[in-house]
Amino acid sequence: MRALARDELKEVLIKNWMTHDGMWFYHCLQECGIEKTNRINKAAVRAMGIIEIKRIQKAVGIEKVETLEDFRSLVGAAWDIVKADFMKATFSLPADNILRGDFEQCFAYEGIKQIGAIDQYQCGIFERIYGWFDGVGMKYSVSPEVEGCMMHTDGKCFREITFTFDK
Amino acid sequence: MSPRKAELTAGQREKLLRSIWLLHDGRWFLKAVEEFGFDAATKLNLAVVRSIASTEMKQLLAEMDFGVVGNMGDFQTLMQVAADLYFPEEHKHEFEVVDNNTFVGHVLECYVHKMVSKAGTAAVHRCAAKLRFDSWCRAMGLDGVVINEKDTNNCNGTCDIIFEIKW
Repeated sequence: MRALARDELKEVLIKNWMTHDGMWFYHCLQECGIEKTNRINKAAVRAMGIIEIKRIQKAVGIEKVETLEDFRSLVGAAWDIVKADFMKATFSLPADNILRGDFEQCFAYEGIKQIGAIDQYQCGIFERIYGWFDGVGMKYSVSPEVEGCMMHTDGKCFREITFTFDK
Repeated sequence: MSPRKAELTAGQREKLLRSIWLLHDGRWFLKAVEEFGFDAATKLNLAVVRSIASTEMKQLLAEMDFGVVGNMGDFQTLMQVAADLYFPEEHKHEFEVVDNNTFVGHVLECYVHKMVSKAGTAAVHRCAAKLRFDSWCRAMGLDGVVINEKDTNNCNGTCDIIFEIKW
């Protein structure tokens, strides 16, 4: 037996959390089909994201996001907290008001493909991130607008989110 | 202007991850209630708990290279590590080794009961603790029985969960 390092603990927690999420999706799918499951999944993750970002804001002491600097700090902190190594994703800031997320691989795509529902799956990953921005009260637009799974249809996945700052 | 400091300790990060994981689980449950009603959502929740509990224990065993859980000492160690990792801080409990075959988890303040009471559904909520610990024992490869005589509607946030293990 060996003791786990702190980064390993983080990895175990996030892996199990995402598996738990996947099990909700799977059991819901068995019980009521893909249409309702997509609806519940997206609603649950968006609602979670809205509260999640507020908890992160409180924890890291960025209660208001009014400037580009606040935004950069908060996104960086949130990413450090919730991203695990198995999530092969990166984010960048190609312009002051643009956040770009790129997925090299996607654990949701892999998992949903495994249970045979990828054709009709509607992405819940970015719903979480939109929940963050809704929670902070930011104005933004998303490109491209994707309803299904971009990894499935295009073999790659990204979004560019453009923000409007008041200050 | 320099960026605001937005770093957490590993302990703060883990606490936040646990709390958001619970939040996400709660949102799945609430959205399922909205879509199907309380009974169907409860049935889904219990199925999900049974599945994730097995996974969370198997993953922990693997990450720790734990090997065989061969005696009460191993079991106690593993239960303590799992509780520290997966239970939120507000869940107050004590473990007791009664004899070589009997282990008791004394729950002093249950986090699930607290959340469910806050939502006003303690009278109809079904406690999933026995299912979760049954799955943990199976994942450890143990032959045993888990006894919990209370449910959410009559526990008032405290209970004794008894593990009877045959070695």
